[in-house]
Amino acid sequence: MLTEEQVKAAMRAAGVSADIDAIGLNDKFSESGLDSLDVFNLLIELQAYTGQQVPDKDVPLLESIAAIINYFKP
Amino acid sequence: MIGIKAIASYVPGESIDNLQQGARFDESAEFMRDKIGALRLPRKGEHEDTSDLAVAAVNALILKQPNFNLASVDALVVVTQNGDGAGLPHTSAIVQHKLGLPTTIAAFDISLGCSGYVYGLYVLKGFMQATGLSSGVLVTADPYSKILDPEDRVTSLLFGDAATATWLGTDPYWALDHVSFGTDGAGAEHLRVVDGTLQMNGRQVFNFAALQIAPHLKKLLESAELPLDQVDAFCVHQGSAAIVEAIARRFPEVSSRFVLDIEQTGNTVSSSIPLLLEKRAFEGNWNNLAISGFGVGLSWASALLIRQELC
Repeated sequence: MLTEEQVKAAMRAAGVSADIDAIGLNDKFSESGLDSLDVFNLLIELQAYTGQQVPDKDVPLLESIAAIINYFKP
Repeated sequence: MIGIKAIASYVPGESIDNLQQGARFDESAEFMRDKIGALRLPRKGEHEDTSDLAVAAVNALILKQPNFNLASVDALVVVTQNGDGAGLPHTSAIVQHKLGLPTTIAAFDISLGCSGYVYGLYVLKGFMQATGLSSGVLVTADPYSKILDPEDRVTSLLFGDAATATWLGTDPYWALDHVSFGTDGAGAEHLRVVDGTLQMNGRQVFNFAALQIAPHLKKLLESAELPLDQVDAFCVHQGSAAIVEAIARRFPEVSSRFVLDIEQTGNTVSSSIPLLLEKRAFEGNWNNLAISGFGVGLSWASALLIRQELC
């Protein structure tokens, strides 16, 4: 199961330019300085890390760190 | 040996203010600058067609290269998927006539998008070597403004119109070295024209570029036995600032060598790589260049260019 720190590490690896440390577990990405391309980059990192692919239709669901942790639950 | 002797371009004077266009779609100036990268998108004139852009690029080559002689051209290739009219006849035939090129020349189009420049270089080189021709012109002219829906946020912020002309011949400035190609038609639906309008799955195209191109380039360098640090510059297709950055990030040792120059042109499809080369590759500082084009198909091609003694 992914942790908050692992998701934030993936954000750093993805080159997300927002203040990653300031993003809370339930903060919406769109209100935290992430744009759609940041999310694309983040999902590339998470897919590689977990081996789980995210179909396009699920991308809008992944709008916070908490939502990502929940989505990638084994 | 056939290689690149010179490159010239034509970028239309008319343009769209892309910051204003971004604001119309509620995109911030920061997003437009940092992620899209294009602040201006050139647009062909209302009465200009693809062949006119091509002719203007070849005329720019004439002005730039006193040694380039239209009468000596024996092969003309136009890379486009948005040729004059409905694409029949081939645009290269129209360009041959408009330029007054000899009727003895070979002229044909190549139907490829953003990978088209790299493919075109090797197709024309091989054709010339196989047939004993000595002076060829590779034109890229693919004005996407012909197929864009201005209300489509995904595509309308990206593409600009431009054309380039690359002179291929003996005693080149740049030799065409190792090359590698790729095609995956399973992704064809992610970037295609439907009912005359371009449609793009932005995430899938982004993923393709971010994940496919870096390993492709690395494998090419391995096959050429050229260490990364000996590549002076990486001129990859300028899909968007975010795409170039996503590829460069996968080369942490040399990421600063990835050229980004998209601000005044946007994504010009098959013209983006020659536009970069025209500005930078003939100033004498680079000896080994890596180029990579990728896009519609899905199709991709990467190559090494090796500088030769001055011709």
